[in-house]
Amino acid sequence: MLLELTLAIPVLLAVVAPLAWRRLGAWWPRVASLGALTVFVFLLLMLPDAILGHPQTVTREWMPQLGVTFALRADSFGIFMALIISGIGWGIMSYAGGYLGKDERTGSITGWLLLFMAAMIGVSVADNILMLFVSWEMTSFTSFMLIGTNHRDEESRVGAKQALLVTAIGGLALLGGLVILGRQAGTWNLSEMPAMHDHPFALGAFVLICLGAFTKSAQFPFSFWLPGAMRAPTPVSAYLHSATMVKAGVFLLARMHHVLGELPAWTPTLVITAAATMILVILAVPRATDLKALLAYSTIGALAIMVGLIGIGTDKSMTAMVVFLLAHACYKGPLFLVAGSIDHAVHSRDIRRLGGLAQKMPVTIVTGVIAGLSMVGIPPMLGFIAKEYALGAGMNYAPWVAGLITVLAMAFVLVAANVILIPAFGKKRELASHAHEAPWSMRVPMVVISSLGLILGVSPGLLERYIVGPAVTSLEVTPVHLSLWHGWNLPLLLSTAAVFWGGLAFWKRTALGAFCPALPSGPRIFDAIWNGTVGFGRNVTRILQNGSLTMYLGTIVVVACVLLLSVWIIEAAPIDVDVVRKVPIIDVIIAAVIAVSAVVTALARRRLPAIAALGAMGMGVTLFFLASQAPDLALTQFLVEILSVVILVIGFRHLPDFRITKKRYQIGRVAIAVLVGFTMSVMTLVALSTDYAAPISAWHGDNALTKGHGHNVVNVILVDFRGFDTFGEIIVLGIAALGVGVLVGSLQKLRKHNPEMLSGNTKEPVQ
Amino acid sequence: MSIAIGICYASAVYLLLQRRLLQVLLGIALLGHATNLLILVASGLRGTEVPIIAEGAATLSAHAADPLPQAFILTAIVIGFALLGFALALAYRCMRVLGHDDIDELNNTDRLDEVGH
Repeated sequence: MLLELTLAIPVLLAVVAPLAWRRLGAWWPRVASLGALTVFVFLLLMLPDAILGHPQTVTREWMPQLGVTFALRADSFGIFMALIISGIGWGIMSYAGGYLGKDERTGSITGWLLLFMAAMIGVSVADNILMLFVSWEMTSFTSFMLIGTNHRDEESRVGAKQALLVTAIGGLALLGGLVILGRQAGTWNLSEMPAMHDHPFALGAFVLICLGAFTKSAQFPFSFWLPGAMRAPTPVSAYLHSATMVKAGVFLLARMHHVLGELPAWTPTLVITAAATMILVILAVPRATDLKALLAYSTIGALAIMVGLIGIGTDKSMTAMVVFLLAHACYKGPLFLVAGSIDHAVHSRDIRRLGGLAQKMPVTIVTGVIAGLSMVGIPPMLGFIAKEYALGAGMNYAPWVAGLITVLAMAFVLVAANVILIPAFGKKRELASHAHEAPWSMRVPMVVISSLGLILGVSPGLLERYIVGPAVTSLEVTPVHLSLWHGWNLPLLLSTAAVFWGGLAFWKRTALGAFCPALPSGPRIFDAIWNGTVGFGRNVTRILQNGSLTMYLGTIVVVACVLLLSVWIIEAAPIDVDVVRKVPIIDVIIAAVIAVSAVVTALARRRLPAIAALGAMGMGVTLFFLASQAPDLALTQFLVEILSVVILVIGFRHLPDFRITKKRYQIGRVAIAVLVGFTMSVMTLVALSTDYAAPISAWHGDNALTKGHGHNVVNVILVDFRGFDTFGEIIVLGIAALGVGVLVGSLQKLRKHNPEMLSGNTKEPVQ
Repeated sequence: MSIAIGICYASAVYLLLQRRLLQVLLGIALLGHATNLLILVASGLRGTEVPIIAEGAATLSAHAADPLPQAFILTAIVIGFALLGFALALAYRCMRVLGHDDIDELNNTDRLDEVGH
């Protein structure tokens, strides 16, 4: 029950959000944050069961034929993740209330945030992998809506589009991977899934799942969408694009570790991707000047560390990953909120314009310093423990990994200094003069979340026993012992060196920024691919839909002929020569008449000869019907033909004479026509030479008199056996007659009322 | 006769590919003829008697022509006539309202680079 409520509460609140915002006004964000807090408490209540090893589960049939069950399972890692989501969610809701103030979009933004929270909790506690996928896609979608909140701004729309496309492509890949996994494992539930590493399809599933995880967690080469997503309002960036959603990829990889972790490709793929992402971040940070861009890059770097740690996959690295995940949420969330508060106060996020805010905004700055220290990794912060263990695990795997993490840690120092020290203590700028402290609703969440980093840092025993240990255990890995201090060792040395060199880099930041090469911008590459695809589509359409009906028709018949002829050639359908030889002489003469008049019709240069030739052809057809023992047909054809010629002559009086098109095009038309003629001849001959099935005509012949009480079988078929066809035919004729009446009649009316309308080539509507 | 059918189809398609509405109309008429012939010929011209049950007999003679294709063609001839009449009326109206009968000019809705004129 509690487990379902953790999903139901945010969904229900999200549904009522726009209405509630209008009714409750400023109280609404408080209600929303209270809802998030309730979810947090519920999750805490479920934690003991999970730690003891019998997590709460929910199973409801949804689409059993497809293996989709509404299956939830709150194991320790899931609860760990969901606690972060709802905890930070509480802070974000409260903060958003202050940040957005009376902004009319507050209702929808909080609504989407709540829906996102539900989706993210769904990802965390889903047991059925298809259910996980649905939640996963839901996070992508809500992220799109939230980035595009400011939809009048073009850059917001571009950022939202990029984020959606990248994560949705990843999502599709993920679905493929999950389906492979589920089908091959024979179960759709994560908790029942065996280790699959020696299955032949495991590599394919792994590659697809990696695509999903890397796009979501902004790993190389998909990193570019995350800085673009920073167009979103700051609470959104803090929540989705640093603390929670981007961690979904990491979360998924961690979940997959016990299934695919033994795959030979697992470690190299993840570690190399992580390393490439880290290098990208290291190169990008020195040039960044926007507070949120700086934080976004460091987020990408932190995610890379986690991906790398999962890739290494040892007990120590998995433990380090879980600690890092928690520590990152506890410092990056508040840092974003601090950046948001600064932006809120002075309306700028450019570090070149900020400075001297320490006196004006003491609480914000102190919070920022605490979070920043955790990010830099100064004892006794949680960030310190996380970095120590990450370095240690990296060291055990390969020294170069530890080296890379050290350089990345330097970049983190640079980011922290840029984001906190420059705005707080830098040279006072004019912007600072009207700065003001953020309201309580914004300050409280920042302070609470960032101080968690300190509290958990000084109590590693608590952390190990109730939070990290059980979470790691539920990933089927043995947790290692956590402590704040474990003597003078190499990780500590590297960590100290990183802080020292990072400080030096900050001091010489201008020179460093000039030294770092400008990277080819990810969004620009994305745009090039995007525009290329759209342009290609437009060109294809222009070639295919060139507006010439003749061209369309020609294409259709040529394709049809080529297909038919190729079937004829491939199947080597025989043509019975006897059929051709046995044709009576009278048929040959009639056929010649028909053929000649058809050609004359086609090539006639004037209207009247063409109609006459058509009439002649009709007569030829009539004769042929007569010769083929079909008197009814001959009779009908004869009458229809006379009528046709009459109406054509009447009609043609109103239509202009032929105009001869250029020769050049005519050759093409003749070629197409000859091709069609050849194909049809061949088809007829083939049809004559084969008997696929017994004809059903015999039944009609046998029953016409007994059941239909008529001697003329054709008539009986028309009015009795296939009476409905004839009925339909009458309707068609009726509609055609009506149509003709309307088309011709309305013109006469038009002529009466508006004669000049018809004389010119004008198309203006009639008044 | 198969070859004649081929020639009919060729002429029909040739006319359909022209730009004048009139020629397209004639093409439609030709196409109808060609198809009727095709149905009849493809059913196998084996019969030597008309498909009418002889006085006194209970069932159709084995030598009679196949009645079913004839029934189909009968329907098709009539519908073809209706189609021709309707198309002619449409062409007439098109001519009166637009002032021309060039089918390649009747494409304002599906060209991307220019909208109407």
